[in-house]
Amino acid sequence: MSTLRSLRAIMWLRWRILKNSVTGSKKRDMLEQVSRSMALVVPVAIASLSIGTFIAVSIVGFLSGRAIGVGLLDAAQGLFVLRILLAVAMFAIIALSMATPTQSATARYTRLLLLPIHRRVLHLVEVASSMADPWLAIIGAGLFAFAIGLLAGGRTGAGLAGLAATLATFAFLVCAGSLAGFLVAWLMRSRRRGELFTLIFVMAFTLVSFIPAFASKSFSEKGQPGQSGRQRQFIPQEFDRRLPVWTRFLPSELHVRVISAGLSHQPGRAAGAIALLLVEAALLFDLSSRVHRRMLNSLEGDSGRKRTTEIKGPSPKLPFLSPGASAVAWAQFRGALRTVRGRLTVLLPGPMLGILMLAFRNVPTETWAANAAEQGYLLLGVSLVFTLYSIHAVSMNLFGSDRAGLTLQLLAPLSDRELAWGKIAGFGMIVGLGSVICLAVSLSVARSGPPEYWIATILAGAATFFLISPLAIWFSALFPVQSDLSKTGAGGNPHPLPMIVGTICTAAFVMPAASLVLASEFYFHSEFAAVVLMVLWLAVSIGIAIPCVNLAARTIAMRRENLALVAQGR
Amino acid sequence: MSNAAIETHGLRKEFGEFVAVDGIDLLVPRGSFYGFLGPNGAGKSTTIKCLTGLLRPSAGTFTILDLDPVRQSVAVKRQVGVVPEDLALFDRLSGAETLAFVGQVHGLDAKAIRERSQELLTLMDLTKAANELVADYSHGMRKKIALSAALLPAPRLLFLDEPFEGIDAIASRQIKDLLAAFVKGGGTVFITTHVLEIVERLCDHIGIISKGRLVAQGSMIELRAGGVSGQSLEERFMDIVGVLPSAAPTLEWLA
Repeated sequence: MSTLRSLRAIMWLRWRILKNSVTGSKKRDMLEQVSRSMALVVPVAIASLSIGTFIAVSIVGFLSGRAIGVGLLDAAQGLFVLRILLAVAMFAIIALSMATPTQSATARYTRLLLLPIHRRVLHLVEVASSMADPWLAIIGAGLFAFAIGLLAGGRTGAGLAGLAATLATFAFLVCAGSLAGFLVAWLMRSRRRGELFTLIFVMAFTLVSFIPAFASKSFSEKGQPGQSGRQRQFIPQEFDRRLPVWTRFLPSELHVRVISAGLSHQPGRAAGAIALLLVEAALLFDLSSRVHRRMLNSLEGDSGRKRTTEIKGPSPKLPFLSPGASAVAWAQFRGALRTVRGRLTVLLPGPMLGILMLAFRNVPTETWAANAAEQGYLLLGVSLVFTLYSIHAVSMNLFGSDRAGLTLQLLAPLSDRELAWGKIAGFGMIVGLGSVICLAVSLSVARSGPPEYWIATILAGAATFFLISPLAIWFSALFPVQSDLSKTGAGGNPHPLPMIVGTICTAAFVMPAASLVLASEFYFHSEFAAVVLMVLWLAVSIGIAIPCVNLAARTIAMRRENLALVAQGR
Repeated sequence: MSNAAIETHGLRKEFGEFVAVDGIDLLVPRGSFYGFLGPNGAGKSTTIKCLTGLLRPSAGTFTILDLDPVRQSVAVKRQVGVVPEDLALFDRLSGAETLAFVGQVHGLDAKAIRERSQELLTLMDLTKAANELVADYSHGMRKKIALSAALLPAPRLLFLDEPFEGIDAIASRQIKDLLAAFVKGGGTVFITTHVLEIVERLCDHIGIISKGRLVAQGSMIELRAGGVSGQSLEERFMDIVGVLPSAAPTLEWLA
């Protein structure tokens, strides 16, 4: 009884928090209200897409099940596809569950722990709430529809077995996702440990995603005409024999074994596989409960502390800036680089594209990409654009990402222009550091290409940065969002509108520079012309940026009160 | 130069239909230790935010150290130190870097920043934590570093929003002595607190705000003179704010 009461209270709490976050405070001006309404566009779009996918997967699942049931589709081939899809989905769900605590603000348990709510109820609520994960709902719907399809196709035994397997697989996925989520949340209880984990997780995830590109080389080599003269035929049984033993206990394998046993009228084998799935789910539930308890017991805080007591002097003054603007720039630079997003901006684009280029070289069919990979300045150019994209979390939310630090700047004797130029300089320093890494990677991966094009590429990057600068100030002042740059997802994102417009504008601002390089290659037939044209373009960009940033600084004056309220988290 | 460090006329702040500050006329003499009191939600923090430029008043005029904070905001900020409600600190700067930042924006030279930082960190017992990120500080440590940041540029006027909340007894004593010395040297302190003992011990002038209106203002002697003889500050405060303990629910079910 008390468990049900607690569950109901927590459900109500979550609902109210969600509702209040949507309605927000009414003590804000019209522009801020509009800004908050527009921020709902992205979640609504995601929800709409999820509903569409949910329906599409259900239809495909039903039709596939029915096709197997009536014999239109070979059962072995169909179930093999289901196995692969289910395995991929399972890893995706676990990876997403691990990513979620790194994305949003972790649940604040302190208040709940002070109330007479049993910890097992809190655990149950957390596990139950993971059922609302759209991916889980989509997979669940697909599996359910597949089983119904089998029933509709006249295969009653297989259909019923499929329904039971769907429940068991769903339970497994819910528990596995919860366990992964709690493990990461426990890691996140220490700020440093959590940030390090996020950094490694995101970088590893990104770099691992290139493995298929490397693997494609071996596939294409095996498929060379010299070996057999014809395409090798894929045989599922041969594939199965090569799989390690432990994979037989994966839910994707067990789920398909249940249906396969149902189709071949082996109820004992089906029941065994379902029982195994349920046992695995129960074990995961128990394990997740232990990890959850450990997470609640661990104190939020940090253990490793620097003990140096030497006090360093202030940072050097930057050229062309006042001491105040310099201080703002250094604070921006240091603050961002001590967050996960800031570090990813600097560390990820160059190495990521470097690996991609190496992968392209391994694919014989991708000749244009392999040729492009030989031109290091192209890699540099693309990675500079990626750096500018990946920094949007900072550049399109220059004020909101400072959080309470913004109040300190608003209280400081700084003019709006000093604040604006300080922010731009800090943004530039982060881009500059990222660009140096991109340059180093490009030089080490492909040193070829005319030196003039390398110089022109660097100048083009600088010109694009200057053109983005006024937009960064405008959007950051008009649509501030209090964000935590150590969150890799929604919690660290700027307002969606600046993200979208910033992305479009970055692409648009790169176009003139790219056109000038093409003009020097195909019209002037001179590599040196690229440098001259790019110097001129950079001068034009600076000429546009300076008055525009000064003009944008007026927006800070107009929105000062709103910025102060956002800094206070209101 | 007038005798007022802060002077407001009809200062008003509205949020939509809600009036947080309703036309108050403050007069804070230079060199005074001014306690700004009021129940929760009375408008104390909103008033400080208006005076320090974080919020734009909906109506009214005011001067800070004879300067117009709207037209001369940078000049005003050069002479003012603030410890706001949210402490206003960069999470990802260390304590020492926070002080260096404040020193730099106030145009202090590197030597002065280093020396003042060292002294303030020693006073606040933060020397060992000087190079830790503020994100890893406890609430009390954050408060101390925020106070250090407000004091570093040697302001002429200090706005302190609940400065002693969460600070240990030793540091609290040191800060009280420091603030008393600051006022003795001609500085002005504008402080909000709920601890009336602190007000009684430190403040020579008091303003009381209730439901956005300034209901009493004057020196401590004037304020006491208006009440019943032998009344404590707490009783006088309750009198002025209009809280009648007898009218409050007795919560008999608690017994």
